[in-house]
Amino acid sequence: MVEDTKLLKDDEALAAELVLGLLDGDEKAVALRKQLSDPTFAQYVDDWNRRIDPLFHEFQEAEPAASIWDGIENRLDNGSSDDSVVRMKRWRTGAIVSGALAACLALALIVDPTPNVAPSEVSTVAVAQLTGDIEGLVLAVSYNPDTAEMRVDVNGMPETETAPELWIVGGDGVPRSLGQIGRNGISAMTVPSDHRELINSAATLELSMEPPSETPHAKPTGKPVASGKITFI
Amino acid sequence: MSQESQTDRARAQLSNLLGQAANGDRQAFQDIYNLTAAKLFGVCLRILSDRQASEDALQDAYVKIWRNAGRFDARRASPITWLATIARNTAIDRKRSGGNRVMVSDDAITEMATEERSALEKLEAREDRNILNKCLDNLEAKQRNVIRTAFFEGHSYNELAQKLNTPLGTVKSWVRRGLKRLKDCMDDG
Repeated sequence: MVEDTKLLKDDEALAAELVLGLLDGDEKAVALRKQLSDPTFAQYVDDWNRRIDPLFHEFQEAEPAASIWDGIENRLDNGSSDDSVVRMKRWRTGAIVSGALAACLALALIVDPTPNVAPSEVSTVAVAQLTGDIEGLVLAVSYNPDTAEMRVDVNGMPETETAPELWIVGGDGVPRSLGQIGRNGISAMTVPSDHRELINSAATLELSMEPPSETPHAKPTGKPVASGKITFI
Repeated sequence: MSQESQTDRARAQLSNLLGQAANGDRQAFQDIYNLTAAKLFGVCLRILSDRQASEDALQDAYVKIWRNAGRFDARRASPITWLATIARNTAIDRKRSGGNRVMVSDDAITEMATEERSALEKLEAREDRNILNKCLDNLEAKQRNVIRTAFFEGHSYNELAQKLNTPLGTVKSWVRRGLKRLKDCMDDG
């Protein structure tokens, strides 16, 4: 058939596959990153979202338990009531568990955290601990060169208008953005292929606070609030 | 026409509430929850087929919505779609993060034909849906089924290939040819 030989442009197909949720792992990470960096691709994604939008009408409604709202409210991060400290602690506990999920929109680099390499096959892992002048702020980073997966565990991030953005600084001293990450808990991302070679024992990871953005910034606007050297173990 | 103006009003109301939530208005956020939780819970249940997992996903989804309300752009998406998309993606992430593999019955594809009108749904315009359904009906059955199954079950290519016991390349080919025809049909109006 004639129409079967005519194919969608690769990027249009990829956008549709992203929207439908067909992509996994690296493919998904690549598509999400492209959505952030490529306005044409982002438009394709919007177009496909609009096309399949009516399918959402077919989901049947179902009433969740009444306690669900309380659970959500307890996890909101700027509680102003008297027990806000308790709420904050509860929320943090929840955020550590759900950190990768919660960071998803801000980061848009989330990949399936299911390891696809057995532990015995992992030869080396790179780690870094990022600290700075902010009391209590510690980031623990691990990176698996085999899967290009980086996990960032953020603790002690103060409340700010800005969003934390992670940078890799190679031997040339130029920071390159790995994107914005979750404010608390664990964010997982697949490092884009063009940044992978920068991750070596001469490199430093830096965290700066930037205006929230759907796309990685070209360069940091201020000094890093935390930094740390990469070590291979 | 009154259907459309009702839809417009519902959209405007949700968009406004999202704007207020983005500025930290908890009451507006609770209003959003009350208006949309049943729909979003339905999305989570469909993907996860498990009440507990769906409730966890629903909580995660609303925490994300609270934290990302400022990113909602009414020019790019309808508010209910934006919210439901977050719920769907959250449920898919949870399903694929393991420990929660859900077995889906083989007749899931036919189950999907069931449709129930809800209060919220009645507020939504029908015209777009008619065009999409007409164009889906124009696809070959296998193309339509893989696309609908991917959407409603939240399956990846690999999961679809396993579920359908069909080579990955064949499944991809069905999806891509179906998507191409769908786009051509919908863009023709």
